[in-house]
Amino acid sequence: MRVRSILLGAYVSIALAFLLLPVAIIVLFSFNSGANLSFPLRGLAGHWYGTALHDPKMVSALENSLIVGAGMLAVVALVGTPAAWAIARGRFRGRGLLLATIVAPVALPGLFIGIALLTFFASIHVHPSLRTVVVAHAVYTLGFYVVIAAARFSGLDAALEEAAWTLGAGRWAVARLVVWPLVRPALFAALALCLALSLDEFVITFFVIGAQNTLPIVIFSNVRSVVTPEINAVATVLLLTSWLSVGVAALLIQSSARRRRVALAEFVEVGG
Amino acid sequence: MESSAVSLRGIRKEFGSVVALDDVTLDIERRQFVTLLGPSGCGKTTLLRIIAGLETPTAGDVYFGAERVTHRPPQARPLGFAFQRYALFPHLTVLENVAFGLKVRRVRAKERRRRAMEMLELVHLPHLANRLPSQISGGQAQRVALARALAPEPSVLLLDEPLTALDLAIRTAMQEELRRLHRDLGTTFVYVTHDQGEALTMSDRIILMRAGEIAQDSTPFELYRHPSSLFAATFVGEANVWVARAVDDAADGETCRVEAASLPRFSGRAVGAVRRGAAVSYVLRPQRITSAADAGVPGACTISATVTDVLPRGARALVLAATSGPEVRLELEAAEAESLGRGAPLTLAWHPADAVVFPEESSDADSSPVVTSEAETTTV
Repeated sequence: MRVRSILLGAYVSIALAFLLLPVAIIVLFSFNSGANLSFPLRGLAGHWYGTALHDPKMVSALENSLIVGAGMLAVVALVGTPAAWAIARGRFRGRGLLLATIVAPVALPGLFIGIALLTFFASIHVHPSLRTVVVAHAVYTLGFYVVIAAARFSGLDAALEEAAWTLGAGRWAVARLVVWPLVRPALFAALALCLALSLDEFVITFFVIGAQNTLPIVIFSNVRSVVTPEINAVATVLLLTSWLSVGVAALLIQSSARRRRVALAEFVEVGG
Repeated sequence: MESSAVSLRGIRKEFGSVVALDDVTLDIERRQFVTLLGPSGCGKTTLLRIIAGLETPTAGDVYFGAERVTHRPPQARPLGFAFQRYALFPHLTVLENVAFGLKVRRVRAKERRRRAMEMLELVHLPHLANRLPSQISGGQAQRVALARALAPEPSVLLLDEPLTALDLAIRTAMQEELRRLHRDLGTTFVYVTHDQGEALTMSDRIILMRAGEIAQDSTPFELYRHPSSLFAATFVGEANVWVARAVDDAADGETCRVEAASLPRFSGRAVGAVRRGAAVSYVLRPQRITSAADAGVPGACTISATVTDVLPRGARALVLAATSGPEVRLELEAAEAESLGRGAPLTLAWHPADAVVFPEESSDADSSPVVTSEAETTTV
């Protein structure tokens, strides 16, 4: 039993190291004061972050990434929420087909989506720009959002809405006072996940972007010429942003649970 | 119709090709505690949901007082609804739950709070006001749900098996609680249950339903004492059912003698016209049978039997006894039953007025299967 747990521990450690070591190295090199990407480190300093921050190419790419992210979120929320509701609660023919269509891009190769969208935009004479990137990212992330949102909607006890009706609430009041507070954390979490996906999306973006650049595109083009620690700094920032989105998502999902815990703590104090 | 709280006229409900309710007409008087009782699938819950407006009838009309509300949504009907699984809003505290109906009616926050606390006091739970539904027990949750449903002062409270999810001790306490609430508030209660004991205990009036129709509409006493069909007799309370053949012609309410293979002739009160020679069911409550070794009851039906088992039930006990015909169940005082060992001889006696003779019902899948299976053996 003991041997087994030691072996299991070693296995997990190795697997984690394999996954996380490259990440750790990038973060470490971003603080390297020298310009070489090799050990030993010359010393630790944060000046590559300063360099990145004052690099107009990087800053404008970051801005573009955020613009694309915001646009994508708007499209996904406006298109995905009603779609998810229809899939979860609707009783119409073709419900399964609708879901499959929306989710398909999740499973398709990025390369394929990129080429398809590029061809599509060309055929309707829309020039590549940040707007086409917004559409592309929305196509890509919509499936993730709809699956999460539809799962939440299906999990919502229909009796709660019926209870609200019998208490005198109209459809709008039911939506505002019952449905929205219950689904809000899951919807925000799904959006945060979409943002994380959008921020570091490269392949699809590469096909449909025009003269402007998003952060992953700039990083890639820089890496092709010369790898500087500045890239590591930018990559670290990107990593943090993604983790932040996912972290926010996790917090939101737990927020209702946390409220319960707080109340429970009060209860224990009073009762004990 | 004006005097009724709720009136149903020719209600029919189809789900696809299934007919859930067939031409149900019913008037529910104000301040009554009316129970819709029946086995699962009899349409009682569908009927309740149609009264609530959660379902729309395929045909027929629903009236609240003199107003036709058939196509009005639930929020436009003066009603409260208690759900089997409570359906408390999980994101709101107990107090906010109770105040919900007042909030959507735009009652001011202060008044809302006062009224919600008042309702919580009515169900003895003011100390739980700030808890979330996840932190209270099932019994408490159902009381909160009742307070919530009653807070907007509905004229009718609809209850859909509200006690089914609770365990027995709490259920009994809640039955009394519901009776008290009904007495104190004077609200019309329409209660759905499949539990005949619950229906008998709580109701002013029981609507017994079967296969989408009303089988019997009477007081609990009447339903128990004078069931109008074999279904009513076997669904409500316990009953011995013997398949037999009528010896006499008898009109409804007249005494009719019956005979069955390997049994002496018994007599009972006919429900509906019985033709001589027709197959009948002879129905007798276990509580109406006495162990009368002295055979002191004049004109009594008697049969000798031997005890096969004794099942204590507190103050009384159920005794299973073998006869020359089918097994008989009877209920005796615990003291009397305790002295009976297995195999002890008994003379069973009952008054003919306590037994009921039902003409055999044509094609009915829902009635006790005992009847149809025994029919073959005894009528040969």
